[in-house]
Amino acid sequence: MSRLVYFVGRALRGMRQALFINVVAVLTMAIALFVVSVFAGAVGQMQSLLDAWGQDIVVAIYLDDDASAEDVHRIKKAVAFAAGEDSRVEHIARDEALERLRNSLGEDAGILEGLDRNPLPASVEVRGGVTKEGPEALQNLAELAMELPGVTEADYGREWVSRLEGLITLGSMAGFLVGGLILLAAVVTVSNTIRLALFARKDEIEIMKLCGATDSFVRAPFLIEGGIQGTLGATVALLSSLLLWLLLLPRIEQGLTDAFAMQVEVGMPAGVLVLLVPGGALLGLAGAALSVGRFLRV
Amino acid sequence: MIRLFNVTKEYPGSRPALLDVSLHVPKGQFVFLTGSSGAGKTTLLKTIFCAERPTKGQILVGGRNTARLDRNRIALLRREVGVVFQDFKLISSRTVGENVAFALEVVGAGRRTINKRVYFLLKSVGLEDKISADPRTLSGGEQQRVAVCRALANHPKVLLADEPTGNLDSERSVEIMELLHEANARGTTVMVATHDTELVERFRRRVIHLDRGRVIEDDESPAIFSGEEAGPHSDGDPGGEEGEEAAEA
Repeated sequence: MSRLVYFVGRALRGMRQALFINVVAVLTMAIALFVVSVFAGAVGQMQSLLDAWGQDIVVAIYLDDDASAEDVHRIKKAVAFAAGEDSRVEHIARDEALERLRNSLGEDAGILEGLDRNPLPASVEVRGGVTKEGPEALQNLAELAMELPGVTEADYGREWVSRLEGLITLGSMAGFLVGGLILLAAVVTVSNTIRLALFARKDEIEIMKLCGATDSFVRAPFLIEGGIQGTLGATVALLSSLLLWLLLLPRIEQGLTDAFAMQVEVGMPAGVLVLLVPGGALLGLAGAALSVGRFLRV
Repeated sequence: MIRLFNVTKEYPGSRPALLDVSLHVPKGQFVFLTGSSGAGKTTLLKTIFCAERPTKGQILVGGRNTARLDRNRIALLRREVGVVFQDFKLISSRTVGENVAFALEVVGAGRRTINKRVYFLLKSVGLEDKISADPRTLSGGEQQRVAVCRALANHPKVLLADEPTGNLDSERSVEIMELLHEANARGTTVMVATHDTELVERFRRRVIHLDRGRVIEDDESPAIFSGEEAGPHSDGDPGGEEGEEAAEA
């Protein structure tokens, strides 16, 4: 314990001696982790939003006006079989469809008054089962339904599901690439700071070794210095991210609610935020280890 | 304490710094290593504290073959070997006291032990009032006394000094030599590399003379030490256990 206190003391002393360069390293780490956390948080939120919507995706199979009750029964049975055990299949009669539309229009329901006949087709709605398994499963189900007699169309919002999924995949890839590069830059910055510290204290290290210091005794304060830089940088990034999410969350929720005409709730990316500080400490440690290892081999 | 068997040290592109050197320094002996610049004195000392590996031959220090020591064992060996350099090698960013404490921190001594030992050592060389001073504000002689304190901090079995008086005037040189003799009087084996023949004459001890990397003379004649002006048993007792205990009391 006293050894650890001694090493931490020496690390802090070293940081104080080169304050400016250490502040630069901490800020670089903070900026890198902030950008990565915001990126990862945003992609993660989009993914979870899509997952949540995926739970709620409805495949609407529109029926021919001439479809008989027997046809409807057959279609329901075939679709339920194809959609899997935990799927729910519901027949929406034309009148019911009109009633739903009227309810969803609310105050604007008056525009329906002028209709001389119900223009909406009857449908079979499928929820759950394979509909949760992504665009391909949805498409297969829709294609199968289209082949059934009495079906005129099958719809599941194919366009936006595919686009959103594509966007998220692209976002994730870009995030990994950009985030990876930024993190690499942060590690290199810490590594260079430690290397400068090693050069600045070259004489001290030489004397340490002459006095009988082991390699681990020489290494420890520098590794701790890197760890402290990473931890401090990550803490700044964490506080900035929290502030950003607190300020932006209501706006994001409002924007999504307006865009999709449905109530959207977006939470903080807790997983990303929790990992920030230990992740930062590890990155700092890794950066320091890179330089220390190389320096002591010389 | 120190044995060299046919030690040769070669650097690429130049003549051997050491050539087939064999010698034995028994425990508690004081030895001068003499020779002109480039004779191999520094290289010889470096091979003993493992800053250099010999190209050929074997070196035993305290019964340990240095060729067989890994990095960690070399570190442990160095705790038993104090080294003093011509340019003092004090850390300018640390105080005088911290410079001496450094050697004790390395071996994991406790804070209280370190404080007591540092105070005792500096007191023994008359520098206790400089404990918090910046070493750069000290004179050359004072800096070298601090360096000797650091070398003696861990009660080394061997003390190696490479031109310890090279940067000092004759009066300060004698002071430093007295400190080394006092350490020797307490049982520490001491090897001093110097080209100062006046000092060698004054403190008559075994003299190993090197020339172009070879031992050309080894004068093992017994020491005739004139004690009055440069005596080893003066009041100051750097590194001595008894004095330290008294100081602690």
